[in-house]
Amino acid sequence: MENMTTQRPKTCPPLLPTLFLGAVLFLPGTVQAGTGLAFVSNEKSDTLSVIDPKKQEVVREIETSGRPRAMRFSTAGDQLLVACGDDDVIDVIDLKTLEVVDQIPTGPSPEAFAFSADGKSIFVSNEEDSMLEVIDIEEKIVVHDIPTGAEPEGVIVSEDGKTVYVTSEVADMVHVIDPVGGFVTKNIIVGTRPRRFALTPDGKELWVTAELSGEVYVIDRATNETKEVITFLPPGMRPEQVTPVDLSISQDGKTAFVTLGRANHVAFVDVASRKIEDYVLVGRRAWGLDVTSDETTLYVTNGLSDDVTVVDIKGRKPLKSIPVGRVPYTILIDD
Amino acid sequence: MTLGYLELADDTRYEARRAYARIGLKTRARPFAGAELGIVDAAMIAGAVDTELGLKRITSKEASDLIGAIKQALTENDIHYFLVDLPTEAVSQVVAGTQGLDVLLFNISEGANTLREAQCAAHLIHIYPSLRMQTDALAQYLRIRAWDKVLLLAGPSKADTAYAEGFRASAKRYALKIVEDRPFVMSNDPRERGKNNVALLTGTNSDYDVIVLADQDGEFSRYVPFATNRPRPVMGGAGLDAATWHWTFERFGAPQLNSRFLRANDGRHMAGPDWAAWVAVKSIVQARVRGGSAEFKDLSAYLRGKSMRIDGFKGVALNLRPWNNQLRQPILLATHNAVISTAPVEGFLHQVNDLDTLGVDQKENTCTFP
Repeated sequence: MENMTTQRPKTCPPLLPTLFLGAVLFLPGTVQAGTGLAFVSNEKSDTLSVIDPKKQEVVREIETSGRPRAMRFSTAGDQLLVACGDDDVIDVIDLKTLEVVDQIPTGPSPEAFAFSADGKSIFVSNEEDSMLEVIDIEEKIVVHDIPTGAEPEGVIVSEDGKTVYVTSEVADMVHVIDPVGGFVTKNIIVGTRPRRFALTPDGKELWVTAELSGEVYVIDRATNETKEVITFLPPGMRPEQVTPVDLSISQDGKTAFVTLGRANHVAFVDVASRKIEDYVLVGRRAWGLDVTSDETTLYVTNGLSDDVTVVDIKGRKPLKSIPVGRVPYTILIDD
Repeated sequence: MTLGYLELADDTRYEARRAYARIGLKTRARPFAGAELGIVDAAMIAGAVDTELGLKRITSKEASDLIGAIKQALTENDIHYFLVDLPTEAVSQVVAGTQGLDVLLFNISEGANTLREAQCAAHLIHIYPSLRMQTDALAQYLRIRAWDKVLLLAGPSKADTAYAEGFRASAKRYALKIVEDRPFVMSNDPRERGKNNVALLTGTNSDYDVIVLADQDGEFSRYVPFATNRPRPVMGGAGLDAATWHWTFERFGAPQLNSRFLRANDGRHMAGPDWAAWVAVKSIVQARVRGGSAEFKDLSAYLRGKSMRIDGFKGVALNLRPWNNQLRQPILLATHNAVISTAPVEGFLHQVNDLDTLGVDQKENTCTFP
């Protein structure tokens, strides 16, 4: 479970009783139960490492196209899509067979992507030509090419599908985009080298990491302006070592988990007060993260120690580090 | 906001290096291309504060003409910030001729240590790293590998002498032992063979771990590897060298910057001065945007201040040393086609900022601004 737009689509809002939710899940044509596996993209091995969380070890490697990076589940939940930057494609993996079954061509060096609200389009950030591409999934054609600042990375879609946000790493900006019209409606200047996003479950705040200024910017979605900036400093670290990259907000909207890059820690942040409650030691260059849907465990990918650290959320401590492929980028849990 | 770019028409640093029989060695292309890419990359963030960027290239035969051009650009075109691609003497002349003006000069290609020391100036900013930073980077690497016995071979030019002096200071800082310190010359004269024959030059009584070459034009150094008396790695003019930037640098988004440059320049690789020009443009725009003011006094104060953060694609936010206006930055240690290590090498720490383990630190500083 990553952020609001990548969860298995909930057919009813979280507030409804579980019994009703369970009944809906078994209707034909709706979501199937997840495999329970965790997928790690390895930039330099050109593979995905598949971890079985019950065994806490890698049980399979899937070969992908060159330089796999960001991943998402398809809207139906039966496929895993991964952007492969060196081959300019999004590989589509069947979650039953764990093999690549299809490819969607993209522009040069796709890094991250997100689905439109209707699930028919993908918004892809193309690092090399500074574009956000809108691709019709079925036709596999580019519907829009929206110019961004240099090196777009994080892509997130609002819950109503009407707004797409993209970071530009070089322009230090968040672009606010109208996906239907295909243009930028506003630019929000944030910290140095903004990377990735998370939305609060109520949709009111957009959180974005600024890697080189060591900050998280909190953007008020009503005004699309920055309302607060959070800085991090694990004990014993210097500010220049803190390079936040990825983040995830708990389903109840109370806690944010932020990976701190070369500070080798994950921060636990109280969303309401913005207070940093804890720093948990993980591996070297903590970038990607994902949380199990029962929110007991957090997984972090460590790009410079080629492993994944398993963190106990309640106890706020690391449990184990699992070796994966070369330069793991991020992790996605299918549960 | 238009930025100025100053260069000399017959800058000897850019002569296509031709060895005997017109064999072309390194041809150094002008770093103006780096400034152009900087303008493109910074356009969007400048646009966010309603600022359009421009670049005015000024090429003259004499440094004295450049001084006149700066004054004219300042009064007629309101240009305050000038990228400077000039050799040491020309930099000093232009600096002297622009004292008291509301200008900032950004040194993008000259590493001479004296410009950061005796010939420093408050309105002279160094984006390009000093030679001292470069030799410190080599010395750190030697220290951490425990290859600490060095044979130093120095060429006859002024630039070679300056480099060798810098390396001796670096060797002292990092407790390396220079077992022998010998001059070399480019010559075939058998009477001078002790200075021009590689096997003889590198035959010593005491053993050494590595040979360091102070050879700024590289013509002699290229014949040293594998011709030495003892089988030893070569650093400096050949083999492993300190680099401001490298075309194969894999980390921190470097490939993206390199490929943008490559595409815009017909397959020419981005070199150190190109990178420095690009960073200079970005720094000025960042100071404008983050400092919140277009006024020269405010912008230049912010640029030189503590809050300044420049993303130079070297993995850490960069800013200027207040004691000599030198941009703090990591230095790459590279061969012709790979980055072997980066400095500060892991393990070297500093009380305030680890980047200050490279170059002249505050307590050794001899530069004073009025």
